[in-house]
Amino acid sequence: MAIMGPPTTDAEDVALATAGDTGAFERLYRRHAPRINALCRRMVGPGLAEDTTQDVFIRAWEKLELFEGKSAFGTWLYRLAINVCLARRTRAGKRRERFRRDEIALERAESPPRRHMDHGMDLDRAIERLPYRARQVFVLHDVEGYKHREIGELLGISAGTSKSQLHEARMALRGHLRA
Amino acid sequence: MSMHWTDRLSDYLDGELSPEEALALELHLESCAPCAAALDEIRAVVAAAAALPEHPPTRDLWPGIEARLTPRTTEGLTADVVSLDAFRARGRRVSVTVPQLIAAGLALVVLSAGGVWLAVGSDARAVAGMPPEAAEATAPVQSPFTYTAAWEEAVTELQGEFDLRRSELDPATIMVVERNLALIDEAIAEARQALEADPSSGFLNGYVAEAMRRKVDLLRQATRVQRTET
Repeated sequence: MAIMGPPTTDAEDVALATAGDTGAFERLYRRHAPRINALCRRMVGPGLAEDTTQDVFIRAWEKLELFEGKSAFGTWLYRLAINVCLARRTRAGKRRERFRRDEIALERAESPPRRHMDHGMDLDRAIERLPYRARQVFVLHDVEGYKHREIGELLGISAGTSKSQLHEARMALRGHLRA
Repeated sequence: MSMHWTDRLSDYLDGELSPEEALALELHLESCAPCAAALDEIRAVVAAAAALPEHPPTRDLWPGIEARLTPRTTEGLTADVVSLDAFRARGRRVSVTVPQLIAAGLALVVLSAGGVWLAVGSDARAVAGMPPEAAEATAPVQSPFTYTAAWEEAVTELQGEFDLRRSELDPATIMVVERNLALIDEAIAEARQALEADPSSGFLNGYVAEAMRRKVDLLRQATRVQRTET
């Protein structure tokens, strides 16, 4: 672990890592892993989150020379992470989605509404149960702050579809979080 | 509770309604308790989403990441090329240097979408009919390339040349090339599968094109080494 020494900034560590310094890249990893892992967890589910987080940082290392510093490194890394998460979608993932759709329909019918929202963890669990597309749109819009136009570009859907998926997600989630 | 208005609650909350629509919805909310309650619930969901916590990985992922980092050999690539000549001058085999060259070349391919694209030359762009702009680092799979049959043709042509002359390469070199080709092929297969299911996705189309471009670049480098060796 190469974390000792005077504190460094992202910009300094990016410059060092671009030149091949893995210690600097480790510092970038430790600084950004919690946020990236949270994104991966919400985008691809807890089962694949940590593998995806690893992939994000490996891809970041491979692409680091293309980072021009026009935005913050964290912003660049985040966008890259979203792309890695989206690329994880497979046919198997779609099958799971159909299964979950059935599951959530059952859950809506059978589960009484919660009395209150305990913590973010409850919302995270509820997000995991959303259908794939609605989950992606909800995470990108309500958790990450992307606009419908940007989401449409990322997911290859129209802004209108993004809006309707967002509404569907919110309506499903309110049942889990009803006060 | 009106479904017409319920469906507009998110748009209202996000400021997406026109002033007239927003006013009409507000008038409706005054007389519709279920819609008003639904709006409050959606508002609570949005607020909770904005306050979600980070999730550090449950284990240290760094050792696994570090093990998979390709050494940065941009400088070393030049040195290897020089040392290749030096080795030849001394009459030594190039069985060690050439795989390193391939590996370094592959690292460059993966590291620098735009840079390698320019380095490879404009002929590949002509094949694909693509613009020469470098890939945006902030959108690594928002590829500037489009997946067309021209990519398949370029791969087939290069693969044929590589196969034809594979006996001229050291086995270690072939192993490095084939291992990396297999990785790229896996990515292509996965992306194609997803594209079949969602053919209108520009993202997936770009992803396949990007993977094909990598394969073309790798095969080009491999066939260049073949030519250098003979």
